[in-house]
Parts: sequence; C-alpha cells; structure tokens
Amino acid sequence: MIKTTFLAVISHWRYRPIQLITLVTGIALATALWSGVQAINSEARASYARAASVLEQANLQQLITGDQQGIPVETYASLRQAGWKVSPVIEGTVRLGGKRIRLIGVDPLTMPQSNDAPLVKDASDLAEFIRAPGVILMSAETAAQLTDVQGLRIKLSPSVPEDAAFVDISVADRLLQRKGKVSRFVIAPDQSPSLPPIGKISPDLSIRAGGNGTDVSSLTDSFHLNLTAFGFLAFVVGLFIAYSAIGVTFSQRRGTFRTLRSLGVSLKSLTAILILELTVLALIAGSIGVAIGYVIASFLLPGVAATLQGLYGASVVGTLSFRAEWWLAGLAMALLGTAVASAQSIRQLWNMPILASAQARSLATGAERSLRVQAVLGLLLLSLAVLLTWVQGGLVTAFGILAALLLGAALMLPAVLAYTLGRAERWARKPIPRWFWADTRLQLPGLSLALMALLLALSANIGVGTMVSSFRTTFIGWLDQRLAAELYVTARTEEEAERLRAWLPSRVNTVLPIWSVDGDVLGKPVQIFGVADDATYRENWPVITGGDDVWDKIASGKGALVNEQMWRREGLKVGDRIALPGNFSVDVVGVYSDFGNPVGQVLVGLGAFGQHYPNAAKLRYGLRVQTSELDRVRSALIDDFGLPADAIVDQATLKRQSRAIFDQTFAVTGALNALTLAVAAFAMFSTLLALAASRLPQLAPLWAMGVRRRKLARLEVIRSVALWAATYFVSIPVGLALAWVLLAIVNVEAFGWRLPLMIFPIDWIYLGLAALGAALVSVYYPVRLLSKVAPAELLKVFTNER
Amino acid sequence: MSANRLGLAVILFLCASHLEGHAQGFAGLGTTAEGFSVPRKGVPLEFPRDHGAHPDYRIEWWYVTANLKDASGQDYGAQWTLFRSALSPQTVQGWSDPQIWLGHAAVTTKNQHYFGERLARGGVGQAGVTLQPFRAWVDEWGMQGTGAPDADPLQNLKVKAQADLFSYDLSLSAKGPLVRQGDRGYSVKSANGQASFYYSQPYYTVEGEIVLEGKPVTVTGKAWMDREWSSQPLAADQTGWDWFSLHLASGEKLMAFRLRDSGNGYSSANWVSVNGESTSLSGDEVIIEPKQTTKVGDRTIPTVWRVRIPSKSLDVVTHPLNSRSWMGTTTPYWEGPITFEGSTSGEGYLEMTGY
Amino acid sequence: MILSMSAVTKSYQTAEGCLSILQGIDLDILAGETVALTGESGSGKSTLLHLAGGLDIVDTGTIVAHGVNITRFGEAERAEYRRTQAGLIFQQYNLIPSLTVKANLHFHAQLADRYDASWSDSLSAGLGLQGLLDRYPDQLSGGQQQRVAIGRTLAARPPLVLADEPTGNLDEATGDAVLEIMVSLCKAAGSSLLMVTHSTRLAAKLDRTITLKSGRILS
Repeated sequence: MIKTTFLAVISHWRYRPIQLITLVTGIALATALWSGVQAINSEARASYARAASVLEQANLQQLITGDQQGIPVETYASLRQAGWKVSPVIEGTVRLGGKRIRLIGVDPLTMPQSNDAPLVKDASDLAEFIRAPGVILMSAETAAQLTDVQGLRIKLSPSVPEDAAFVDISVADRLLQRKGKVSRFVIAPDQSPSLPPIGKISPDLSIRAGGNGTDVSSLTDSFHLNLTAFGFLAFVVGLFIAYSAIGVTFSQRRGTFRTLRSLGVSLKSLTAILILELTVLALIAGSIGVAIGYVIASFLLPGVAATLQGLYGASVVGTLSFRAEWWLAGLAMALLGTAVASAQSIRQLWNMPILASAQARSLATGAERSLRVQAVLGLLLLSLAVLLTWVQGGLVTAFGILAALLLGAALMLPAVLAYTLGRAERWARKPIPRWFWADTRLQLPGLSLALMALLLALSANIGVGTMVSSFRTTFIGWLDQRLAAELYVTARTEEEAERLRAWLPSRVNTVLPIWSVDGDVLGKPVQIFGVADDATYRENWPVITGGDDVWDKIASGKGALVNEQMWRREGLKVGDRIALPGNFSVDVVGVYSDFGNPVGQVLVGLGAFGQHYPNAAKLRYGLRVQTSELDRVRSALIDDFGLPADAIVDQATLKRQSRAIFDQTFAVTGALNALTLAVAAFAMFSTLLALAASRLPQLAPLWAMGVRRRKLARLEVIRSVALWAATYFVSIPVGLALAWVLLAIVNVEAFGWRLPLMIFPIDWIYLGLAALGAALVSVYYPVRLLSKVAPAELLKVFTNER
Repeated sequence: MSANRLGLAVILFLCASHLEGHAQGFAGLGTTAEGFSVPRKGVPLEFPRDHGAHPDYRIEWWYVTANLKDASGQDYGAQWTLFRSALSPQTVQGWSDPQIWLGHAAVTTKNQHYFGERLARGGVGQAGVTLQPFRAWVDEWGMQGTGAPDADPLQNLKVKAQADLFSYDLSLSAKGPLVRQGDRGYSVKSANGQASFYYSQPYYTVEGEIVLEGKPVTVTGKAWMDREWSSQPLAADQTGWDWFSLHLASGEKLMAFRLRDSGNGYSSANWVSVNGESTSLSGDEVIIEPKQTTKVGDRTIPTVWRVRIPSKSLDVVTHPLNSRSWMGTTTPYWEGPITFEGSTSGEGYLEMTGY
Repeated sequence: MILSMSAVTKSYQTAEGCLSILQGIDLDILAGETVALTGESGSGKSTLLHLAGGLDIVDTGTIVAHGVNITRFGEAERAEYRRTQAGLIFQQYNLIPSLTVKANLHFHAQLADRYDASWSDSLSAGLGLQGLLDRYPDQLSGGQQQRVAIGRTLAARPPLVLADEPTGNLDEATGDAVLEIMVSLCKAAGSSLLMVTHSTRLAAKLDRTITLKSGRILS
C-alpha cells in the first residue's frame, strides 16, 4: 500500500516537472551558497591551523619571554640539562631577494615529531639540513618569488605556508643576526614526571598554552563572520524558493491527498510518505548544491585568499580540497532547510479537512492577520536594532544589529506594501486599475516571501555596495595623503643604505627615511616608525585627531601618533603615555587613519627613534622629487648609483597596486552580492511560475467580461515590476541603514577603523536597472504562458463539460 | 669492538633511519674523509687528554656496558653511550657548531628491554665532553668523574640516564688499568687497513640503583667502557658486525669482533690479562659462529654464538639474558648482556648490527 | 433579432481524435426573449453558449448578433463584444475575489462604460444585496455569490445574457429564487436570456426551450 501511495504522490512531478526543478533548484541554490561559503571558511581556517601548526607547532605549549632581545642560549642548556625537553626556535622576518618572508629557524634534532609536516624525512635529510650552507624549506609559490636565498639550497614542501620558510636554527641565527638568542621554545608533549619548575631555571620565561588560536585567526574571525553572514543570507533567500515551491506542490496535490485519504490512507502514513519524498528530494538537491558550492568556492577562494592576505597578512592556500565535514554539513543544511520550508505545508495537511476546498480570499483573510503579526514582529526587531546600536559592544552585537535590521525590514515589507496597495485601490476610480490594485494586494501573501528575499538581496546590495564605495573613496583619498613622496627606494644592505644617504640629498628635494622596528606595546605587537620633521608629513599625513602642534611634539621626540585601529582597540586618548620597547615612553599626541593594516602603528620623531633603536634597519626611503625630474632621478638611481630597478617604486605604481589589492579584496563581496540577487530573482521567478497556475480562475472572469489576454498579461508584467519597484524603493533606506551599521559599527569592531558614509545614487540606478531586468526576466516566462493560454484553458475554468 | 660502533654512529647520521642494507652507508665511509684527521699507527695515546673529544675526527664515542645483579640474584644489563659525529672537522661556539651528539641508554632484564635516545647539537651546552672535571653529557644524562683530582678522570664515575620507563644512577670504580686495544691503541678494522684509535676500561665494579617502571632496584656488578674515535674505519663491502666483550671467570677480559662482508669477513680479538696486559689476536685465531637465531619483528637475529680461540684454549657458547634486546632507536641494532659457558664461564655484552 | 446562428459547427481536438460537438446549429433569439437550452451531458450546450458569448470561435457557419457577423471578429473585437454585447454568468468562479461585492457589481458596467448608479442601486435592492456590499465574495454564500454575478452582468445592461447553469451549485429553493430574480430583472433590463440548464422544471419558467442532442437541435 505504501508503495502504491508513494507512487501516487510522486506521480505529481511527472505532470509538473517545472515545479520539481524549482524545488530542487531552490534547495540546491540555498545549499550551494551556504556550503560554498562554508567551504571557503573551512579551507581558510584549515589553512591558518595548518600554518599555525607548521609554523609554530601551535598545538604544543611554548616557552616565551618578555625580553625583546630573546632568550640566552645558556638558558637552553640549563633547561635541557634539567631534563626539560624543549626545542629552540629562532624566527623573524627577513628580506630575501627583495621579498620579506617569515624565517623560522628550528633545531631538527630536538624538535617534537610532527606527523603532518616532517621537516626531515631521514638522516641524510637531517645532515643536509644542518650542514653548512644549509637548506631552506618553502612552498613552490614562495620559492618562485625569491630571487636570492643567500646560498641556501631550496627544498620545496607544499606544507610550508606561503611567505614563510624553514631553515636550521643556525641559519636563522645568522640571517636574523640574533647572536644565538632564542625567540621561543617548543615544549615537547612527553616530559619526565619530576622536573624542576621553569621559573627556577629561568624566571624570565613563561609558558604559553598550546592549541589556542593564533593572532591571525582572531583577526580574520571578523572576515569569516562576514562571509558566514552572507552565506546565511543566501541560504535564507534560497529557502524562500524551497518554501514557496513546497507550498505550491502541496496545495496542488490537495486533491490527490483527499482522494488518498478517502481511500483509506491514514494521515500518518501520508505524512510519512511526504516526509520521505521531501527527504529524498532534499538529499538529491543537497548533493547538487554541495557540488555547486564547491564550484563557487573554488572560483571565489583565490579572491578570498587575496583578501585575507591583503587585509590581515594571513596566508591561505588558493586551492580547495574536498572536505567531508562541509559535504556532510551541506547535506544537513539541505535537510534542515527543507524541513523548515515544508513545516508549514505539512502542518496545513494535518489541519486540512478531507472535504471542502479553501478559496483564495479566505486564505488571504488569514494572511492579512499574519501580515499584522509580521508587521508587529518586524517593528519590534527594528526597535531592537536601534536599541542595540545604543548598547554596542563586540562584533557579535554588530551582526545582531544587522540581522535585526534586515529581518525586521523584511517582515515589515508585506504590511507596508499592503497598506500602499490599499491606498492605491481606494484612490483608483476606474474598474481595471481598481481591480489591479485589489488583485495585487490579494497576490501579496503568495509573493511576500519572494519579495522579502528580494528586499534582503537588494538591501544587502545597496548596503554593502555603499560600504565598499565609501571605503574605496576614503581609501583613495587616504592613499593620496599617505603616499606623498614621489619615489620609494629600498636599499639591499645597510652599507648600500649608507651610500644612498650620502648620494641622495644633492639629487632630490627631500629624503624621508622610512625606518621601523617591531615591538610589543601594551602587550600587542606593533610597528614603530621614525618620521622626519618635514612639510610632507605636516601637509599630507591623514591625521584624524590632534592639535596644531602635533608635528612639533613628534619632532621633539616626546610625542607619538598612533594609528586609528590601535587607538580604538586600546581605548587611547590624546595625552596618554605609552611605553615603547627599549625604555622609551611617549605621549600620544594624535591619531591617523591607517587602512588595510591589521596591526597597531606608532609614529615617533626620527631623532628619538634613532636614539632608542640604533639597530633598526635603515633601508627604506621616500623621496620628494619634482614631477619633471622623476624619470631622471630614477635612471640616475639605477645607472649611476646601481640600485636594481625593483628596489625603486614610484607613487603612481604604488597607488595602482594598492587600488588593485583593494578592488580584489572586495571582488568576493561583489560576487556574493550578485549571486544573492540572482537567487532572489530566481525566487521571484519560481513564485510567479507557481502562482501562474492558480491565476487562471482569477483572470478568467475578466477575460469573459471582455478584457483581452494581452492586456491581462501586460497587467501581470506591470504588477511584478510594480512590486519589484516598491521593494526596491523600500530597500534604499534599509540598505543605507545597513551601510551605516557596516561602516560605523561592524568596521570598527572588525578592522578598527570607522569610515564616513557616502551616498552613491548612481549605483542605486544601476542596481534598479539590474533589478528591473531581473524582474522582467523573472516575469517573462510565467506571463508568456498566460498570454498564450488557449481560450479552451480559460473556458475550462467555467465548465466541466463541453 | 671498534668497527661496529664507528659504523653505527656514522650510519646514524648519514643513512636513512629505515635503511635496511647498510652497504650504502659503508660506501659513504669508504671515501676519503675530506679535512678529517685519520688515525695513524704509532701515535701514542695520551691521558687524560684523549678522554676528551677529538672534533677533528669524524666520529667518536664513550660507551659503557654493565652486567648487574640485584640482591636476589636477578640479572640486569645497562648501557650508556654518547656518540659524537662531526659534519665538518671543527667545533665552534653557538648554533652553527657542526658537532652532533647522540645519547643511547638502555636497561635489559630477563623479560624486558628498555631504551631511550637523545639528539643534540654541540656549541650550545646541550651536550659535550669536558675534561676538568671530566663530564660527558647529553641533556640530563651524564657520565661524571668523581675521583680525586690527581687520579685518572675515568677512575671513578657516576653514570646517569633516564627515559620513559626507566632510569639509573650507577657508581663505577676501576679496579685495573686502561687497556689499549690493537697495536697500542691503533685498531685495524679491515684487511685494507681502515683503523681507529681504541682503548678500554674493562675493570669497573659497579654499585647503584636502577628504577624500572617506578620500582627501584639496588644492583652491583661489572662494567666495561670503550673509547674510540676515527674518521675512515670501514671497507666498502662490509655489511655489519657482531661484537663481544667478555668478563672471564678468571678475571681475564676478551674483546672479539667479526665484520661481515661479501667474502669471509674480518675477525679480530684482544686478550687482556688480569693485570691489564693486552694481546692482539689475528683473524685466523678467532672463530665466531652463530648457533641459534631469534625472530625480532621481521628480522632474524643470531642470539646464541660459539666463540673459539684455540690458541687460548677458549671454546664457549654465549646466551643472551634477553634475546629481544633490540634498540629501536633512529638506527636500530641489537645490544644486550650475555652469559657464556664452555671451557670457561662468565658474562659480558653482545652487539650486532646490520641485520 | 438579437442573435442568429446558422449552420454552426464546432469540434475539439482531443487525445482520442477529433471530437465533433456541434453539428449544424440554426438558432434565432429575439429581443427580450428568454430561452432555455437543455440536453444531456456532452450534448454541446456549454459550447453553444461559449460561441454565442464570443468566448470561442466556430469551425463553420455564422453567428450574427445585432446584425453584425461576429464569426469574423478578431480577438480584440470579440473582447469588445463580450464587454458590451454579451453578459456571461457561470456556475462558479464568476466573481473577482479581490474586489468587494460593490466593486464586483459595478465592474462590468464600468468596463462597458454603461455604469448607471440608480440602475445599480435598484439592482442591488432587487437582488437583496444591500447589506452585503462591503463584503468580499468569499464571505458570501453560494446563492449570494450567484446573485452578485447576476447583478454584475445586468448592471452592464448587455442585450444578451448568457447563463451556464447559474443555479447548478445551489439547492432547489435558492436556485428557484435566484432564477426568478434573474428572469424578472432581464425583462426589466430588456435583455434577452439564453440559459443552459439540466432542469426541465426551470426551463419551463422561460419563454421557450431548445433541446440539444448530439450537437443538433431537436425540433
């Protein structure tokens, strides 16, 4: 019996293949976008984890020191002789052949064994690694960018993260000039039971717990939260499709359900069969979705990798591996989504009497009630959003605001539209317009989900678009200020830098040293720059707060400028005193914006910088040159001085590169935006298609009264476009609110900088046109069906015989 | 005992840890050592200087094996070894020191064989050998001179090691003189003339404590130390070795080894009298034959041997305390205490590599 | 002469082949005449009504309404014809669910540009719909709905009212009452009525009865 019933139930799809396609597409799209984003996220996270475990053996405990200089080698001997199994690491950033890479010097003899990334496979590897000149182990990508490896033999290993390399500790000691001082120790997991406490051996050392997230993962969390939010948005939009498709198929099969029940199929077994059917469909659609998600992810991942690299300096492998966890998660999401989307239909089935059919209006009356509930709920959510902006605190709250704002606006939308349509209906005098408005209002409950999806997509587009454009405009303005020098040169060695310092002054207007050291300030790593007292800075530097005498105070060596992210993160105030490494305390005298930089920055006077950090690399210089002299100076630097061409970068190139990085950074956002809009358009399409069948009885009386099919079709088009347009107009304020939240709250929490909100109405027009196009596309096929409907089909509405 | 351990130490660093046939490693040794000093005949050993490291030679070790008994008469074996292997013939302070150090320690009982291994680089204090006072160490493992300042530094020693399931702390006291092996310390390892510097202290008495899986045992017994260094000790076709150090009931000592190769092999022995007089015995005077094998993992290892030296009327059969005295270290080998019976009886140590 | 059909044939393409429905119909309806159309199921009653109403096209033959040959009409002219010349009342799905009773009542008249407030008011009075004007169709009973449908058609004063079993869904008493109103209002409006019905009892209430059998009129 079950089999017969099941076949009867699924026979529906043979007659309505389009509905089947719609349903499967809906679930598949929802799953695809969700799992695509998840794939990107999990790949990136796996990358960090791999990088962390490879680079730092982060799963193991570490011994670290507060001492800037490192840990003396004698401490190592004491620890080992006391029985502590610790392995030394000397690490740092080094410039090799014009490229900065993270150099990790390890001791393969004592390094705890790691299964995922064996540094040396066997004893001959070991001997080669240790024996001078030594081996440098890195990925092929990194190796391809290096022109000079100081005589080290390059060995390739795909498990080494990009822009990092492993060398023997002796090589790192030599290249980083550490004089034997150790950066940190890795503590092997298998220690003897009775060891003397570390503090007794060396009080300067402290144990850092293993397994905790690295800096990079906490930094990039916000970015991933961003992506996840987008993925979820797309998932919700996809669910709307599935929801409406399931609703339609259920309502169209009511007759079948009634017949089956009157033939003695129990409600329970009917429900079970339907759930089975939906589960099978969800699994099929989910599998398709995961596969599509994989494709999406593999297209987007390089962009994401570029973003993460550009924004946070986090290295992510640009290739995707198929992971069982998101494959399963994708299917689970498909099942969950289908369950959510079908819950209402199943519930209706349970409440459906065996006889009697529901009429459009009575459904509409129920819908009107739920419209009011929705509107109240939406209003509450919007109020919550406003309330949360007052509270503030943390990225999660920021995303809470976003969610409340979007969901609230979406819930309010049908009520707003219904109210507007009601006004229009009352205002209309002629019968056709009046019918048009009234009928549109009647369609609203059926269309409202698709419209809500559309609102979400459009608002996200406007919001994110406004955010990106505001950011871009601000960023480019900032670049102009920040990159004031016409040429930037980098010496290869200190000796060359010294010659450069002597050579340059007679040939350029001004030489601006760009010298920096890395150090911990307020417990976090920051870059400390020394700046010359020069008009270039006074006139151009993008200072946000600070008095007129900022530069005088900097020049005096007593003041410091900090970047915005450090200022916000540490809650600094102008006038606060901060301690820099090397017993150097300065007053914060101002704040400047510093986009695209994950770490804090402190600017101090060049004189003071030189005094406190005499060993800082003095390799980089900004040069002020007359524009007309630019080419002459450059060729002189190359031909007369002998600097390689790639050591000289001009302002225009730098700006171009920065812009390219910026645009690439937000390419992913753009792609997700477009995808979300496409999904929303599909939601509308499938809804209209589903409604088209039920439209005939509503349109036939008009036709019988002498309204032409063509006119009816035209009205259908106008209706869709009108609804899209209304939704689009609602989406503008919602989108702007979204942009404001992104710029003023999310950005501050995620990146540490606040951006001014700028309005780009031209973009709205483009979006409006895109939306109009999508509306026309989505309505085209259903309306064409309608305008071509045979009179016989319309007649069938009125009669059961011929 | 020379060739065996020389080869072992070098293989540890130059060959794959999973290398089964050692021919490759030997081929590496057969080449002339660039820059390394080579042992020459007639150069006299000098103490205490030669107790210390010789960084200009490629390889070197301080090797102690002890046959021990507890109060109830149970037998134990203990091993403490520090190998030195130079990547180049020099030593420098700091991380770039080319001297690599390797510690092996083991305790053998009738049923168990415990071992541990430590690797270290020189130049940073993690491992090394000092003379005044004498100390050889890697991590917390150590062999330290405890005698009077004017006595030979190796006269009295404290030897310590620990690993996952065992530790020991032994006091060694020499009851006889140092013994120069071969020709006054110049020990030939092949017919082609490969050789090493080699001396021993076979007269130690031992007392101390072994802790096995948390349970301390007080032990006493005999120990034997080997000191050897070289740069070019083996012939190209030699595949492994079987080496014996025997404490005879008479108080005499015998060191004998057999180097296996594609032909008949190369055997050699040294007979040491009760008062330390050493007699070098040539290959045809020493007959070493496997009698019985044991499967250890997938390897077949001869663990019962017959050793004959007709000129000394010696004909004994050796039995291991534990036939599974397998050192599963970076380069694995068999090393454990043995007893022997026949024309005389006694105890000693057996080491076998290349199986 | 309001409607004159001569030698009208109509067939439909079905899965089983060409199904001939009407096989030469000749029919004249005079102004103000009420005519019942009866016959067995499948005899072609509804098809005849649809052809007369300009909802469908004849295969052969001609239909002349008010002296105009409507068989030559294109889609637009047929729509115009339905709007102004013929009023259709069906068994179900007559009303526009999104509009109130009042808007439904006025709808056709406004479409045909013949809206007359006093006529409409008298119609709603005559149909007993005054209290229901602000309701929506789904808030009405079947009889009420059908009365609204009749009112909507008559409000436009079409010369010809075509009704397809307008009381088929109603119980006998309600059906009789609705029919009486419809006939009397048709008379009052001066419209002719062609009504399909199964019931000879109802047919007897009209001026004359035409019976169809297998696509032909029984004389």
